[in-house]
Amino acid sequence: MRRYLAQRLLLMIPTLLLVSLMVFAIMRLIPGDVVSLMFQDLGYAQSLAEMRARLGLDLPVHEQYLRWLGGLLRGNFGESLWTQRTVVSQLAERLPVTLELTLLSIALAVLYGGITGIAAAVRPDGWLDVTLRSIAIAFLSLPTFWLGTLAIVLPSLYLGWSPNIQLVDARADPLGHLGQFLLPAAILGTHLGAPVMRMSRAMMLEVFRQDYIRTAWAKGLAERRVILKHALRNAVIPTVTILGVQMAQALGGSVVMEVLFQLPGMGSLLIEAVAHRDFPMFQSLVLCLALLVMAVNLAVDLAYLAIDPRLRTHGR
Amino acid sequence: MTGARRVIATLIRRKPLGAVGAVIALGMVLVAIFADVLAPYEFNDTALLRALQRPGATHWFGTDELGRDVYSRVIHGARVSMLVGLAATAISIGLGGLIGIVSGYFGRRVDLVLQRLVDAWMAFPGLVMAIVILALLGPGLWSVILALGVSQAFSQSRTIRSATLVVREQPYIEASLAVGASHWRVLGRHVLPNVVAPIIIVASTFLGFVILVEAAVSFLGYGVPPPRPSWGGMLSATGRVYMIRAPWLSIFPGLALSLAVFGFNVLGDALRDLLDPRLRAS
Repeated sequence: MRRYLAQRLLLMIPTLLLVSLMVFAIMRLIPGDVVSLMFQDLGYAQSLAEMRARLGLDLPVHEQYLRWLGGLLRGNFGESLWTQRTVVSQLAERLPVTLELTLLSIALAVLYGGITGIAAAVRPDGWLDVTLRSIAIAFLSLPTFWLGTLAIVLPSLYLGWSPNIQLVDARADPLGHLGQFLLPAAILGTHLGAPVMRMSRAMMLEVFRQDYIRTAWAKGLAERRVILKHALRNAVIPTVTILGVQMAQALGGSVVMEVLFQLPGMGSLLIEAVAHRDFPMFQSLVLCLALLVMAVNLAVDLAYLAIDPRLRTHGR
Repeated sequence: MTGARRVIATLIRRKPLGAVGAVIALGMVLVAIFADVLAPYEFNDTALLRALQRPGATHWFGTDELGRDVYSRVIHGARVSMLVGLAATAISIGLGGLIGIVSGYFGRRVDLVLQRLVDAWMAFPGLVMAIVILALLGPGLWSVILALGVSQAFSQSRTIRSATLVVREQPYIEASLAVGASHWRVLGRHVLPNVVAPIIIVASTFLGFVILVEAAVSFLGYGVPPPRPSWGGMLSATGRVYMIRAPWLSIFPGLALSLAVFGFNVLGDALRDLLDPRLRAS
């Protein structure tokens, strides 16, 4: 177990370096006319040379990279050109919103996908299975921003209710705060839940074919007990592995939901940064999102290890 | 593939929903090809006098805020969506397939290095990566295609890599190498044909996904630029503004988009069930 963990962490180092190199390359790929546009239209600098210097494009490339990396390691993510604030201080405000939204949506996706997947697997190709699968595919086929728009427009039209435009403080009004996140998280969750459902259904079907399940039935155990106690645990394990991929999806989806529901998270900050051509901000945000995905992937792997005792002995 | 006809026959018999998906997918492609013939009006034929008309006999899906025929725009939207979908899928599967096959076939160090690259790339949320590429390339149809294709390419490579890992262990690969075939010949003649099935499955589901991502990118303001009509663009721009006053502006492109995605999704699902040997055996 410890060896596996060490191996995992060691493999993360080259990946991290590659991630940083890729983000760094993004900055160098900005077309030259964009730099002059930033200088001319947005008034970030007095001269083109100063603009290049502010973007850190005036030094030799390897020096630029080492400097930037050195800054990152010391926790210096740079400064926004637009707001003149440090990236870290802005991230500190925005990260919790995005985390709350994505984690809540993944939790809802697991809840919805897991329950419907198990229910669908009990009688494969039965009416419940077909209905639940059709609903899942329908959710997967609808654009989330479109569902979100409906969820905003229809209640405001017929019920006179519309979501808060301002972020509700969690301490002042915990219920209102949760309610504000629940709608976008549920929309994202139904979308993310479809692969979870497909996976948990397939895994349940796989597990149902195993001998120990037949034994459990043969012993005359109740259906509920066989499904929940014997089958579920073994079916859950592979399902956990897709959560890492889902996290990347959820972060992408949260960009859309944050813009739509006007939640001040990292996604909306990213869109603002692109609109203002605020490349230092943009660069750091992309890096942070990538780090977040990697951290979740690691956590998923560790969770996998914790759930499945077999891996602790064999899978070193 | 000699079994193409057999696959179609089995698809209809064993996976009727998948066959429906195939019909929808084929229909969408045909609509895209014959858009000029099928659309009664020019997609950009503006006439403010007939703006925001309800669906009726002359304008089946109504007209938009500039008096353009929504039905014609939905038909032409199929062309943009299919073009974006097919081209981005081709880029993504081509790139992802190459990496997956090379990584899986050569294994060892090549695999280790390539997989770290894939890890790094997959750490970026796909939509975020697409926006990054679009911000760099600037707006345009081909920018959207490139951004969507490249941003998702690496995640496709994993599936194809695992398929290659299985093929690599087959005796015929060893036999072929033993008689002196070069690696490239083995890859082209023996490995590639045997991983076509997973590639088709991945491509079908992916096509539906790309159409959705195009819509999301449109919503964020980086989609295919006007006046070219794309479903995502129609839904997210005026469709949202006129959602209450003129719901037909968003209902019809929304239906077309969901129908296309649904079709490709169920087709991909059915193909996976049919072509996956593990499931076929049962």
